Formats: sequence, structure tokens, C-alpha cells
Amino acid sequence: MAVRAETPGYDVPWTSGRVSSWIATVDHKRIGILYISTALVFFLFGGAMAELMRAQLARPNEDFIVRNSYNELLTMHGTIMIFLVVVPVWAGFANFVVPLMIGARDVAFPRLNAFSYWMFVLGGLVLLGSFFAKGGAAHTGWYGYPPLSVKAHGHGQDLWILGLHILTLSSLAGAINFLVTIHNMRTAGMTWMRLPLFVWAIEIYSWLLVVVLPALAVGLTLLLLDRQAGTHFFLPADGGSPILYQHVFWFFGHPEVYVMILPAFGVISEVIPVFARKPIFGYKALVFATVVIGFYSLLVWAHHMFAVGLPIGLQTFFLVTSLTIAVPTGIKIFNWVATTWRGNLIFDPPLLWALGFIVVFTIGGLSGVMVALFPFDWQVHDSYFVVAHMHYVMFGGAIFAMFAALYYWWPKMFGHKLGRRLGIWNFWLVFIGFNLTFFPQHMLGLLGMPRRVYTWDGDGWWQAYNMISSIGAAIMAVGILVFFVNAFWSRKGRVPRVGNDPWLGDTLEWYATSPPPPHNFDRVPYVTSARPLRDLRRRLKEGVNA
Amino acid sequence: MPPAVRRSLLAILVLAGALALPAVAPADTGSAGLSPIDPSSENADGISTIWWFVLAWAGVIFLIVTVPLVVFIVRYRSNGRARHDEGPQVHGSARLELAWTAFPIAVIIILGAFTFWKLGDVNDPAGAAGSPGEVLVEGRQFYWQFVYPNGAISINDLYLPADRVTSLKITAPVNDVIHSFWAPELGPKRDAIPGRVNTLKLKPLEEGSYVIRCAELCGLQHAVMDGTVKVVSEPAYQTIVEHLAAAQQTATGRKALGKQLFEGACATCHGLAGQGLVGPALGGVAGNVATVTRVVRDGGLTMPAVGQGWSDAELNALTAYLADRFPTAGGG
Repeated sequence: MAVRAETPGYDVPWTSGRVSSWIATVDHKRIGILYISTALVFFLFGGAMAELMRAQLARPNEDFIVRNSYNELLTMHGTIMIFLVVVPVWAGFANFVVPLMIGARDVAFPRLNAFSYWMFVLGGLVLLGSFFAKGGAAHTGWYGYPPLSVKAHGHGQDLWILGLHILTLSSLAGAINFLVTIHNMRTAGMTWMRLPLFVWAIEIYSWLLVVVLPALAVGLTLLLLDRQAGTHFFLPADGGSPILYQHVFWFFGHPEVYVMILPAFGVISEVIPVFARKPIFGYKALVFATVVIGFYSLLVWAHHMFAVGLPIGLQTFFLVTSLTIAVPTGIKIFNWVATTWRGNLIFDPPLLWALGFIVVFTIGGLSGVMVALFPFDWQVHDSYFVVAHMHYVMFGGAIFAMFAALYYWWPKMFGHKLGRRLGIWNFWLVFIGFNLTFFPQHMLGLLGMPRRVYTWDGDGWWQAYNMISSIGAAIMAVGILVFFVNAFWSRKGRVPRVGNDPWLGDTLEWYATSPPPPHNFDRVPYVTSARPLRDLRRRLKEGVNA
Repeated sequence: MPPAVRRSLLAILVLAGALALPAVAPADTGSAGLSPIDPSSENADGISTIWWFVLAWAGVIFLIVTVPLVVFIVRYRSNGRARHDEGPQVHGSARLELAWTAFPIAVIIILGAFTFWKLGDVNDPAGAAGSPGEVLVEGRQFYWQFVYPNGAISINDLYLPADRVTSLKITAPVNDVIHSFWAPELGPKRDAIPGRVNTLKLKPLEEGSYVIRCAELCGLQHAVMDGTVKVVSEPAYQTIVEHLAAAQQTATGRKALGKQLFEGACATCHGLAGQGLVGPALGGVAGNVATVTRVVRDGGLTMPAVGQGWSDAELNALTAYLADRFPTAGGG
């Protein structure tokens, strides 16, 4: 085969070394693993910052970490979790899984792919390094509203802009790569209506990134010019408009939420049918919902700006679009639940995470409907109610799905499963810790606690909720450490190897060996449905029986 | 029931209990659980009504999702069946999917309609005849300044008449940053944006004191940028505001204003005794009129220009108070 012809007859030095082969790799599977492991390291950093903040907020008038140090933490926690954890972890899974799922040998542009990864690392180092800058890291919140972010002293804000610029380039190159791959490299017979739902999610994820990242780049550039070049795009003293920045930023910022959550939906849509031993309920409706959500996500940005004082007519428009987006989301949730009906539910960790996802994401979705109603949002906007809502969607959504994906695709990546027992501990500790941390924050918001405060003063329920929240955060931290223990414990040589298809999956990645060879497949079966591997198993069985 | 499932169910019960406890805990300690803070204005009443309505629907929908889910989890658990054992190959149902498309559409229409029915109460509460009173609200790093129609100024304490609509003109000085005015018990918040005036019509119903928070990250001391709304009867309000305006023409009144300015604008960072906190100790400069004027007007290296846009009267009030308060330091 062509593969052999391309392999040189001698060892190329940088393709063989234990370290150098990973640094020089352009293999989508290795780049995927690099993306995921790097994102997990950043996840530990971002998580540690969250734990520090919860330690400060556990009791009233605490002075453990205050003022600008606290503001640095809240800014970098948000920035890291969004730009260095969730978005790149999906890029990682997309890298590893998408070419395998569509029966391709690699992504369309392997070297551009390596470029995306290394830009991500560079952007991450710039952001983390900014803690050592003059004046500390950025401390104006993850959306860096001017004039505060223009007036901010020191170089943290400039490095934040630089870091995000680099990450924008990384994501943009990655998104174009995924689009070209999905459009051009599907194997014979894989029509759009036979495309795995995770691939559909990555398709829309990529389109959204291509459409909205330029807006972020523009906003950041103007912010940098205001800071360093004496312009005044956003400075009202010289005729600029701080509201303009908010529009530009949220035109990026809201679709970014769906960039983080659509791949999570994709993972859930892959995991539930395999562990319920049933086809996904309403494939076409799920595809349609994904596309509709992607489209509507471009039309809801100003619901982040309901307190700005926009005209009521405009707020009404954004109320209607924000409510509308709940409909396709609801379709997805009902279809997932329906998929479990009369199934043979096998409670391996991926299914636990997926079912946990449905519960917590439903809560996050419902509180999302609440804050879309702008008169109610006027009350809870920028309060802990929104902090709770946003974490139910982002942690309960994206991070739960990330764990489902890790447990699901781990055997394909490494040839053995993660431990089941530790996986169950991992899930329950995080699930309980998560709800204890974030559910009481709804109530804190209703009681009038603003977000982004380094301290608070209050008695009774204020103390109870804050303390419960901090205790929950500690439980969650233990739960997440269990995952890392699990990853270390169930390493090569300690646990039995599994075959190509340990879960009896539906999609083509389970046709390749575990882990797959560099060229993925020697040959790919002709695809006749959305579940080519099940078709193959049935044909084999019939062939044996005949 | 296999032990793993039993353990899972037990964990679900424990968790549900843990979550329900704070949610349904006795409301007799004031507002708690899932109820919002006691609403004390017509605006907040409207919001509270919307909240309870939406919460009820949200609860129903949550149960519509989770009850079948839990039933299916228990009923269709593997229970030792082999992985090869497949469920029925159901690919969907047009009727069911149509139903759970139509149902959310109906729900959001109901929620939207109810919200607009209550919008008037929240956004534009009905007042007595005649134009509503106005107060200019300025968010500043890190204090609130209130200017009444007759020129009276108060710092961090906002006086409002009960049972009357007052139109708050909310803004921030052009060189300041964005703040957000929020008195949770009185309802809606509105951003205080430099160079832009937002109007918020509030109609407090009960006399009392209500805390003001800043709800938009505005820098170093965002967390402690608190104020108080003091809701008093209409006649008392008129007296207080007139008295304030008159007093601020006199030396003692100016000193009182100076004290408020010091406590609001200076003490947040320099300490109530000027001993230094985030900012340096005031030491020798407090009594130096020229230095104070410069720093307060233009700001320092990290210090915001707390006094930009102050009238000369305000500035004099502060310097007079400082000279009085820190007399020995004024020698230089």
C-alpha cells in the first residue's frame, strides 16, 4: 500500500526518540493526545485557582487572598478554563477521533495541525507566565471590559491580550483543518446523514470558531491600541464607547459557549447509545438541533448585556432568540432520555458521566431560560446566580462530557481501559462535590451576593451557603485527583489490554486497532449507515451462521 | 439489585437530601432557600413574581426530564445481561419528537408572555401624578455619589421617598470605569457607564435601610463598594434633602460633607484613620491642600482620580475636613 512506499527505509532520528518523536509528530492521534494532556495540566492550574478562591470565600471577612491577588485569580481561572482547557480539550478529542470516525488517515493539513498545537502551548505559557509580569496577571475579569482593562496597570493585561491573540491563531488554524478534513476526507459511503454526531458537533464547533474568532481578534487589537498606542476606541473621555467593546466581545463570547458545549453534546450522543445498546433516538433531529443551535448562538450575544441599559425593544429581541435556543437544546435532552428507554444500560464510567451530564445540564439549561427573561436578569445579573448557572453549563456540561470522553476513548488511545472502580469514585465524588459547590450559589445570588467579590459580610444563610460551597469544592478536588490516580494506576502493563472494540461501539474508530497504527486503517469498510461497526458485526455473525 | 446499582441509588438519595435541605429550609429566618431576598419595592415585587412563576415551570420540566431518566435507569439497567444483548432498534418517533419540540415552544411562549405582562411593574412602576423625582447616581472608584435636584450631595447613602417613583439617573464620570448599581431588595440593577446616563425608575414600598452593591468588577475595592438606600416617608425625604442642601452652604455642613467624602472616597483604601490600608498612610499630605487637590483631581500612580468632576465646594469640603481631622499633619 501507499503507506509503505512513503516510509523511508531508514530511521529518521526525530521520528524514533521517546521525546523527540512526540515533539516532531504530525500524527493526528499523537497531537490529539498532546492536546488533551496539556489541557489537563492547565485544568489542574485553573482548578487550583478556583480552590484558592473558595478558600478565601468560605468565611466572612477572610483575608487569605484579597483585592488584586483575588482579581488575578478570578480573571485567570476563567481565561484558563475557557481558552486553555475546554476549547483545546475538544480540539484534542476532535484530533484523535474525527479522522478515525470518518475513516481518514489523518487530518487534511497535518503540519498545520502541529502548528495549532504548539501555538496553543505558547499561548498557555504566555498566560501562565503573566503572573510574573510587572503588576501581576490580568485582573479585570475574563472578558476584560474597558475602561477598567485600559486603565489596568502593569503588563498583565497586555500579556493577556497577547496570549489570547496566539490562542486565536491556534484555534482558527485548527478549525479550518477540521472543516477541510470533514468536508473532503470522509470514507466511501459516509454521507452527511451517516456522519457520527460527534463529527457533526465538531463541524459546527469549527464553523463557529471561524465566524467569531475574528471578532475577538479585532476587539483585543483595539483594546491593545487603546492601552499602548493612545487611541480611544473604548474610552468615553475621548469620545469612545465602552459598550462597543461589549458588543464585539460577546459576539465572540456567546458562540464560544456553544463552541465548548456542542462537542460535549456530541460526546453524549456517542456514549449513550453504545452503553444503552440501542441506536440514538432521532438522529436527524439531533443533527438539525446542532445546526440550529450553532446558528442561533450567533444571535443571542446581548443577553450578556441586559444591565447595560439597552432599549427594551433590543432586549426583547435577545430575549426571544435566547429562549428559542432552549427548544433545540430540549430536543436533544429528550432524545437522550428516550435513547435509554428499553435499553440494556451498562453502567461503565462513560455512561455515568453522560447520565450525570443530563441531570446537571438540565439544571443549567433551566437557569439559562430564567436569566434570558431580562426583567429577572436585571435582578440576578452579575450575581452568584449567574456564577451558578454558568458553572452548571460549563462544568456540568463541558467537563462532565470531557470525563465521559476520556473514559470512552481511553482504550482506543492507549489499548487499555481506565479502572472501573476508581472511575465510579471519580464520578460520584465530582458529581456530589459539584452540586454542593454550585447549587447553593444560586441561592447566594438570590440573597444579593455579587460575583467577583473577594470578600463578603453576612450571617445565617450567607455563611451556610458559602461554607457548603467551599466544602463541595474540596470534595470535587478530591474527585478530580481520583481521575489522575486512575490514569496512573491503570497504566500499560498493570491492566489487561483490550481489543479493537471493547465497548462494542458503533463508529469506525473501533474498527482500527487499539491504539491505531500511524496510518489508522489498512482498509475501511464501505459505510451504509450511521453505525458502520454494528453493521459489520452483524454481517460477520450472519456470515458465521450461514 | 447489584451492589453497584444499590450504591448508586443510595448516593442519589443522599445527594437529593443534601440539596433539598438548604433549598426547603425554614423561611422563618428571613429569605432563604430558593426564595429571593425579601422584595421591598414594586420593581422587586414584579421580579419576585416572575421568579416564582418561572421556578414552578422549571421544576416541572426538571421532573419531566429526570423522573423518566431515573425510572429508565432502574428499570433498564443491565443487571448482568451481556453487552451483546441489544435493546429494541428504535430509531426515533416523529410524533414524540414533534411533541417535545412543540412542548418547549409552548413553555417559552408562556414564560415570555408572563414576563412581558409583569415588565411594567419592574421597569416602569406606576407613580402618583406629576413627574417623578430625580436623583443623579454616580458610580465612582470606589464609592457612590448621589446628587439631588436641589444640589444636595450625599455619599454612599441614598435617600428615597417611600411609595413614590424616583427616577435614578445612573452614570459614572468619563474617566472612571463601569460600575453597576444594585440594591438587591429593591430589585433591578443598572450599569453605571462612563459617558452614558441610564434611567432606573424605582418605587420602594417600605421604609427601611437597604444595602447597595456594585455588581460590575470595577477594580481593587469592588467587593467593598457598598452603600445604603435609606427609604423614608415622603415628607421626611423632602426635609432631609432640603436640610442637606442648606447645611452644605454652611461651614459645619461642609465639614459633614467632607467627612462623608473622606469615609467614602478616601477611607476605603487609606483606612478610616488615614492609617493606610491598600493605599499608603496619609501621613503628612492629608492637610496639604495643594497636594490633596492634585491627587484627588488627577489620581496618582495606582490611585483613581476619586474627585474628578467634583465641584469646588466638594473639594473645599474635603480639604477643610482633612485640615480639621489631621491638624498636625497640615503644618507642611
